Amino acid sequence: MTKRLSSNVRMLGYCDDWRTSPGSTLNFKVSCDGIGSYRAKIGRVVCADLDPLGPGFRIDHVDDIGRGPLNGRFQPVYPGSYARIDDFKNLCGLRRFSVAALVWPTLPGQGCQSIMSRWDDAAECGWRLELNEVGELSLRVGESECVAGGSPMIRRHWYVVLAAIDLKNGKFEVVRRAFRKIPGTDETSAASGMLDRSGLAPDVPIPFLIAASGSKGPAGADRFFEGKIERPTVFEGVSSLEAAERFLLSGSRLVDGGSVRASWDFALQMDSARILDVSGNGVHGRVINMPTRAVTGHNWDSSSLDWRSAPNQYGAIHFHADDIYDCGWETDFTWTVPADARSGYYAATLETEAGDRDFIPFFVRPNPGERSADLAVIACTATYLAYANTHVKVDMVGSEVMSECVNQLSQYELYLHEHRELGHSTYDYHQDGSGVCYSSRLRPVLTMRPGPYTFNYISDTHLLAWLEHINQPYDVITDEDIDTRGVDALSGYRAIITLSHPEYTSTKMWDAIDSFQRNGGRHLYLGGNGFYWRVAFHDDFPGVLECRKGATGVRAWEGEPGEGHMQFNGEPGGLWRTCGRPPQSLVGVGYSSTMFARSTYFRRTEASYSQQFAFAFEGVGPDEVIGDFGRRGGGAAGIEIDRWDPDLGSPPNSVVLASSENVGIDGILSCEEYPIATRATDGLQHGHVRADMVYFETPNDGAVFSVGSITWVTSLSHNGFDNNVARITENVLRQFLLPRPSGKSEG
Amino acid sequence: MFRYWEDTAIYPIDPERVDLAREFRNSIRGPHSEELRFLLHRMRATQIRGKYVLVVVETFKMWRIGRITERNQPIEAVDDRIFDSLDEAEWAVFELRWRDLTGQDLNI
Repeated sequence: MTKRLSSNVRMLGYCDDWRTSPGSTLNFKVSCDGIGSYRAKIGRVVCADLDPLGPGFRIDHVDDIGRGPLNGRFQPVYPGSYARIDDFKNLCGLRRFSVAALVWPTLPGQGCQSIMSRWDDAAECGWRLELNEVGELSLRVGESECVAGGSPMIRRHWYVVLAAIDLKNGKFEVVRRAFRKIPGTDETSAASGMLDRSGLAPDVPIPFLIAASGSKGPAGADRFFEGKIERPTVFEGVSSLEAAERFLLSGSRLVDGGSVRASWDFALQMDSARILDVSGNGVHGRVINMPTRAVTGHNWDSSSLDWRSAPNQYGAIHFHADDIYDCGWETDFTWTVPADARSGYYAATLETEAGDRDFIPFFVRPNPGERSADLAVIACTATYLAYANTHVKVDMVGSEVMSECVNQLSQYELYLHEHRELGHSTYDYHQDGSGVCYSSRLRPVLTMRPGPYTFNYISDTHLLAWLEHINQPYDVITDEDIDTRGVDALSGYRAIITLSHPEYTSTKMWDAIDSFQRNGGRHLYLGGNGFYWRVAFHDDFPGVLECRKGATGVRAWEGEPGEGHMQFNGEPGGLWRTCGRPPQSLVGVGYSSTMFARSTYFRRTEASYSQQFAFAFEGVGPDEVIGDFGRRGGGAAGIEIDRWDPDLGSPPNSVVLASSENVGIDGILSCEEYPIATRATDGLQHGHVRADMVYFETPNDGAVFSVGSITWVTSLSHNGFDNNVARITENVLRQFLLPRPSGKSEG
Repeated sequence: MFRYWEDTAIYPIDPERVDLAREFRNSIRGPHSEELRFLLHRMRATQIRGKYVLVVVETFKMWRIGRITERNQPIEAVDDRIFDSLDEAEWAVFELRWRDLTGQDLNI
């Protein structure tokens, strides 16, 4: 008998906004499963890594929450995206009506999936137009069901579907037609019948839902549709399929004959949560749990890849049963940041007497205009969001192939696998196989907790531990602050540090960092594979990152053709490199290769011996290899490494100070680096498989120092922080914090 | 709907090549010969459902072998063994995969 492994995770939480400032109050939301009470305290995170050979786990106590234990309670999560029509009075009282839509199912045959409904699940009354358990189109009215049998509907094919309900004469019918005829399958399927009047819906105010139907429980919706729905419409009277189809395909916003009660054109206000009725009756609605918008409709003809230039070809919404935006939990405790709180990474630690523990991370940054240090550390919250609750270890074969060792699963990863309601990351795909475009922080993010998932958040805290070690004051500014406030969020700092893997960058973030650098700011980019994906945030969807992916880059999944432009702002997503801004053009180096199995070291270049760069290597012997140690693969060059390349925009005045050596067979050239498919692209044979340490000056006394490796910061703590990685980093930091870097070249 | 390859590794494993297993036993983390790399890739690229994983029993200290289940299902244990060495756990998974892919136990 197989034994199921329990995660033993019984307590989880998140806060309403992980960015806060002195004087502001954070609301913490906690769900407990079988836990009566817990204690909570606030701490400033110095190092979140439990690795006994790392800098040492350390959270400095700041405050206790309450005088005694807090009461635990269970708070559920309700995933599943759909649309709700708030004011549906215009759709009530109809005795003879029809509903029709264009649909593109992605998981037909896997559970009952409602397309449109007004259904009271407790009373089992109302109606649902849906795919039944075996993928046939079905109309349920009260206790009566009418099924258009024949060939099951085919996934990822467009259909027009229609249901007509005639309460006056006690008849109902359902019909669907495939847009593309496939030999051997039924192009059209229809059925009709007489209603069992005993089960008819009383005309009570049952909400009108699209892509779901009402449920008994507090979730309010169930039977989520998997796939695209376009132009759902309600007609007064019994319509033929032909007449309905003519209307749906005409794209007309005005109706003839006044027989249309509601018709939702999803191409309107595509960048919002609103869905607009174009019948003139004002029966508008909104989407719940962020289904994917700005997706191709039935008529997309590939003449445009940008929804902004051909919105009428983007009239569909892609719904998923596993979409989640905001868990919506009630607040369990609050904490007001004291006026004198130091900026930094923070966490609420929750503990029970039985030994349960959770850790809710957040970031305290200064209020605007209240900078407390000359240095700002940029908390790469965009990256933390992109990876939030990633399931790649349990959903993607490539995960173990890439890491070249059997994957380890922590308690949190066991929990996430079993509890998909906590949502996915932008590395994952939905259960229908489509990629996850949105990632929210309004849910517990279990990839930001102490444990074996050390990527990003935990590795970044090695840098914080080092800053504490050298007593260097710093403020923390988050990616989202930069996206919101632009360069103002950075102005006034002499230097900024970006961390191990600042991979996700919005246009506003890029422009702000570029502006900072060109106006005298100094930037230590201490990571690898930074500034790689172009992403977006949206004022109307706080806490959500959008990431679209094209046919290149380390993408895990590939976006559908024509769906590369982001819903949030219409910009093309995908790699910054394909948008004309390779990372090299911002920080001198750009992602080139992965190196997961082990890491390696740097060796200085001849150019590094110039007096101009002596400041960086003070205390480092001329022949020393740099970083042949570290807590990730044993070296400072590893996991993902970046190279200098003037063809990709490395500035003409940029200088390579050191490069990785001995990358060998473990280095793998990234997929976007292949102009043609060839052998000999590993680090043993290909010169582009390397990390470069680069320095360049920018206008107005600015400068950039880049290391081009994820494992640089996790080498800082070696030998009690006494090593040449720490020495070089400190040398450059001290130089960058001077009013005017003394090593700068004249002119 | 293009995703990472699910089940494409085709390199055949020769059950006579226990020398490759010995090479792995002697150097779990490599570097490995080209033929052993092919063999390891074949093992690591097995399809995701049912794939072996190491479940952390105590962070950085103890592990056991599990198998990946369908979404929403708990991860399942393969046996009761607890490993206090990552390399020993990695080797134990290698033995299981050898048996799965060749139909023969690896006795070295």
